[in-house]
Amino acid sequence: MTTIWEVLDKAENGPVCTDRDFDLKIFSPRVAELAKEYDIQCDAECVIPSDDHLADDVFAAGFRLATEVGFWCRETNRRIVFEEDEIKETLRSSPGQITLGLDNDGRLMKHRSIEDARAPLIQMGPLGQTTSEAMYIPEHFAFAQEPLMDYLNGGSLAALYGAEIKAGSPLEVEAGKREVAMLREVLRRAGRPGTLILGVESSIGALGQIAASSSEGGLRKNDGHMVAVTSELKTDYSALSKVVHTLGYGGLLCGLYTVMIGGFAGGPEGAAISSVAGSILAKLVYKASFAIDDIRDLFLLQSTQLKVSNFKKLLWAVSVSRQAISRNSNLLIGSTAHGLAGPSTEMLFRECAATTITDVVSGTAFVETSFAAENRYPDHPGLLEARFTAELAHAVATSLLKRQEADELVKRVIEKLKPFEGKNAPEGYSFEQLYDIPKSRIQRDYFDLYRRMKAEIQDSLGIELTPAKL
Amino acid sequence: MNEKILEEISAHVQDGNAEETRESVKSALEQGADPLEIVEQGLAKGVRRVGDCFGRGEVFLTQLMMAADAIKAGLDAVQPELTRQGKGPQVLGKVVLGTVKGDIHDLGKNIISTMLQVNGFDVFDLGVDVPPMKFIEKAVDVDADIIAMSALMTTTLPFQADVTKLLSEMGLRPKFKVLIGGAPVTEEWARQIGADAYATDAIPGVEKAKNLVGVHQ
Repeated sequence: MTTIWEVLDKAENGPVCTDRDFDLKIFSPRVAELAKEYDIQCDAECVIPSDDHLADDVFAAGFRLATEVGFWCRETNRRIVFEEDEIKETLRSSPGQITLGLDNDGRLMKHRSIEDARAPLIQMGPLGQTTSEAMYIPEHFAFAQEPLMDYLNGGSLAALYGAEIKAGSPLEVEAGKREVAMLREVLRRAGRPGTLILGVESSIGALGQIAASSSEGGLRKNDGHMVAVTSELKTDYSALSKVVHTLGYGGLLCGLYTVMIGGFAGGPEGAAISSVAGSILAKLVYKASFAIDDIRDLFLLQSTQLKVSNFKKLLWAVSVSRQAISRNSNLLIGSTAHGLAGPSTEMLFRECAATTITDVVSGTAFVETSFAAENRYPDHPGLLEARFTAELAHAVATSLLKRQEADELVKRVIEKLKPFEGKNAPEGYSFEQLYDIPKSRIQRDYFDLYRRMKAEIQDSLGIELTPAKL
Repeated sequence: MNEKILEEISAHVQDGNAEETRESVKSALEQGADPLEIVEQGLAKGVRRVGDCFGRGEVFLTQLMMAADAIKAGLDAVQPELTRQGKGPQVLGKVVLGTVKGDIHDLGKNIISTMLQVNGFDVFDLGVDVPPMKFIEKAVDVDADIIAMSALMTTTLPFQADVTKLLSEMGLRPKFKVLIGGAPVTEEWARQIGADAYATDAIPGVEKAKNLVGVHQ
């Protein structure tokens, strides 16, 4: 397998290319050409296609994109490109499973097939959403007690000692370390000390992450160390430094890549192809043991208003890219249950239901949940939406739901989202409003909504989700 | 005027063909076309159509940016004649724009940069990871009307505040309008840091920029 030193050499000596040329003359046209060559066309009326040839074509196109385009490195203005054999060798040697965490709290993440009866792993937490220092421990303690949580991903600290945390500042170093220390504490309180922590959210730069993983009480080897791919297919010295450091002490790396429909990848077809390419390259360049590979729609994010047609195309892109990777590799890829709406709203529960059903039946190895209101509001984590998503993910898998059935089910969920179309997505409620912090209990109204949403999806699914507990 | 050649110019802009746009403009000038009509009925018309399609999600960022490149090529070709005749397309204002320090997200920044250009603003795009003082220095250098800053992460939002704070402490605050944007930016944040306006996405962003320079629909 290509070593990290070989990767760094490619970053220093690969083909020269400016940022703009990479976007407009190399990446974007090639994606469009591949979509045309493989005749990949989005059918938004079939959100979860049952077409293995389509999945294989998307993978083939993504593989070629990865081979021909590679990653672009910001500091060197060069492309990190690989031979086809290098990529094939890496994919062949990918083990298809990894242990996350320690001892009784350890979890085995395994590659899943399409329509796999085994449930995906569940990653829970604020998922990098802005979290105040005062709410950090209460919020995460709530997630840490969720029985279906397999590992924890924290929020991003907004401030420390009353000062805002700025990227690249000394306070960011402390923020990263504090985040991990607090997450370790909540897991201890919840009786789950060996659970994997995926970090560092409060410190995006290499300095903060390295500080948080070198210090006593920091990220352990068996914790997840996140490294992001910038849209589209770009990297930099900061990301590569995280990789070098983490590999050096035997840590687990988790890639993070979000493709934008509407950006340089173009429409849903280009986004699906780029998602596959990004997953492959995250493995080669970042040596990622697993990767969060998301697709978003630029127009939905910018307007914060649901447009059902855009949402369907987004789900289609997620489904075909997950199917492509699941059928053609052992890569461990996951997606996010997300929504435009905030916590404790019908809209967010239904958005998460649609994304989760799509992900799970399409073969995703894990689901991270839930990303409420696309981080527009601090201290708005989707706690019960995460629980709901986890229960749904388990139910979808164990009920042996087929793609065609799942497609029908998602379309029924989308019908119930239509009343929200064209309106500003609701903010929902803050953690303090939804949770009795001194008693560590969820407020009744929130719980009643969760129960009602469960009943709604159970009626559609025809099976029971795990019983609700306050 | 020959409408056919103007439509041709518009079509090349919509297709993002910079070289063909340049050649069509030259050809139109050789045929005696009025340079202002070339700008308005050819170049601007083409890019407005692309902008509208982008707003509807029918084309994507690549097409938008290539149309902007095409219009620049066309403007370069027509500018000498405009100058010779003492005419010029109206520049609504000058905008110094970038993604703040520590932040390398550029998608939103690229969109608004392009949309401002196609809507008649002179844009000085500083790129990504731009330190606060660089915004100010450039704004002073080009005598800008607006400083526009994008931030996509909560840890980079404070750099927007740094710019407004520096402007105040340097006695420059009244000289420039400040427009901010990015996913975590809210009206409350804009108010807190004393920004003049904030925009959730590019299309309202252009309208806000127009309001800031006193251009009304």
